[in-house]
Amino acid sequence: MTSDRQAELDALFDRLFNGFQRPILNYLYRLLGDRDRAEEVAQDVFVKAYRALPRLDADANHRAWLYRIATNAAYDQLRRRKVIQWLPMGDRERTVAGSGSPEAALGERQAVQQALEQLPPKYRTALILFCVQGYSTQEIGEMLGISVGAVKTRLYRAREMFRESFGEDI
Amino acid sequence: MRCEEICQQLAIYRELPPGERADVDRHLDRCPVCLAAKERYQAQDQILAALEEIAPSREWAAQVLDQTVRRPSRAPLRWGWARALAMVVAALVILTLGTFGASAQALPGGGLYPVKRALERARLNLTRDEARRLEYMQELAERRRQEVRAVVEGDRSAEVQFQGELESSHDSFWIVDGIEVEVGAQAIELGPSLVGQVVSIMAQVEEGHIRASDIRVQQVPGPTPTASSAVPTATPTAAPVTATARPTSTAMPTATQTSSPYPSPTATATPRIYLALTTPDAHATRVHELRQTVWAAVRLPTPTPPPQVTPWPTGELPALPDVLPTWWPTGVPWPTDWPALAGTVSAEMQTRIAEYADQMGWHNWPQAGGTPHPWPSMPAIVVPTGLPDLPIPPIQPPSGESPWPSWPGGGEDDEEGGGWPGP
Repeated sequence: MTSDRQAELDALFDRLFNGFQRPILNYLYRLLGDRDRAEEVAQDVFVKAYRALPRLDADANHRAWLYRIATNAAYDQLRRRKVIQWLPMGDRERTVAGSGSPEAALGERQAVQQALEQLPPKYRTALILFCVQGYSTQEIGEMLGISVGAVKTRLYRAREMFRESFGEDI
Repeated sequence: MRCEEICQQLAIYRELPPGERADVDRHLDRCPVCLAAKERYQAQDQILAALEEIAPSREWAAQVLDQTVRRPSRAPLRWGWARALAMVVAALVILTLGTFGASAQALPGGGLYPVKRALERARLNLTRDEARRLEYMQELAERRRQEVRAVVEGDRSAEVQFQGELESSHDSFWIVDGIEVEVGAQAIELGPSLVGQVVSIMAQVEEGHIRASDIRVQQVPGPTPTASSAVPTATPTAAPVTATARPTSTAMPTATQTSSPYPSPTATATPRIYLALTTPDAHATRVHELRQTVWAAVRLPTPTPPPQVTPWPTGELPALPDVLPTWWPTGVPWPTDWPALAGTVSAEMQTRIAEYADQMGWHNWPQAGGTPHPWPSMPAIVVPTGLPDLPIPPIQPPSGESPWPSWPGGGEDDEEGGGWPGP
């Protein structure tokens, strides 16, 4: 590979990394439920992406491609380490301090994360990409390699499962 | 459109084209069920969108770039430079091997301790076989505990992290795999319900005391949908987390969040407790109990507790008044031991006895709510035969549920008559 070509790829990777390090890390964090694991997997994702960059088509959808790598890496992690999962609970004395307090907000966020982690990975993925990261069903379909109709179905089921696991009428 | 189709549309309501959205809205005008679904989904959108983001740390970003764009150049070297480089590399290898060797004995707080942990993490990541991985994780867990003991015995100060089985909970401390850990009020309160569980402790060791700043208990979830292996049934102690794991860092209320997700032990007055659940299939009751605790912690409505089972009363029955009920079998002695009747009385007889006890105001019978009163000691009474039948006042059925505990064996299986044993 010529040095010019390498410089182009490095510049492209820099742009991708700067633009997607935060969303990819947060996506994996919501999927895996643990920051350490999310950082490990995100690091692997970008290293794999860097190595695969020379083979990528010039007109490829880089975002979808990165998310596809991240999703597959997350699924591998979930399969491999399915024995362990943290279930955080906030300080009880603080959370009863009153609604709107930071402690109550922390407890609710933890409850939401817990409810997310109860969902099967493929439904969790769709819900996170749509509701947390704000992507459209078309974009999600490209990321996950499925049709828009399949995305809609997963979202509907994910919402119903989330409602059951969250425990309130939400 | 049917309601299920509408709900599927509602799941992606924000991106519906105007025409479809109008159709859905018209349906919502006349369907309160679907309208409620829409409101639920909107609430879900709000709470999910409010999830706090984590920011990539500079160290993490640097690690990624070091492995990608900043990797060493592949340009060919001249022989002179190659020789010099080879010597430098050899020196580094020798130094590294020496460092790695020395790091094996490093303790928390020591300069080489991060090297030791990094080597352990690398070995764990390279171990693909699941059984060996679990074995190594258990070895690491035991190594962490030995380090804690060494730090305490050496009267050193350090931040430690270890996990083990909660053996006992006391007024101000826990015993975790033989290690005494000072814990806060919430841990003391929950301690008895967590005995036997594997807990992960982050603590500060000072002057021989171990003070917990972060306590977690493990959860073992069910399988992922694509997993081909069986549902994991291992107890929490069989699959400990790696010693390098850190807790989720959603809004840790400390000023050091950007440098370390763990709160500083001195900054947190009360240890944070993270609760774990065993597999729901294996311990459904435990899940129910712990879920109540979680709901209470996050101020969600407490689910209805499982119904209380009234314990079976023991002891002798109270003395009868002057007459027996007319339905009492002739020649049958009045029982003196209530449990002896279990399984021998029909449902009809059980109901009659309950009504009679209520009529007679026998307050020593078990009341609704399940707390039995102590039975009085009464002499055995032999019922004479030939007593005249006297009118019995109208019997009011007991209100609410029957105060009687359930009969072992049930009164409905009255295949053998279910009556009293013969004299």
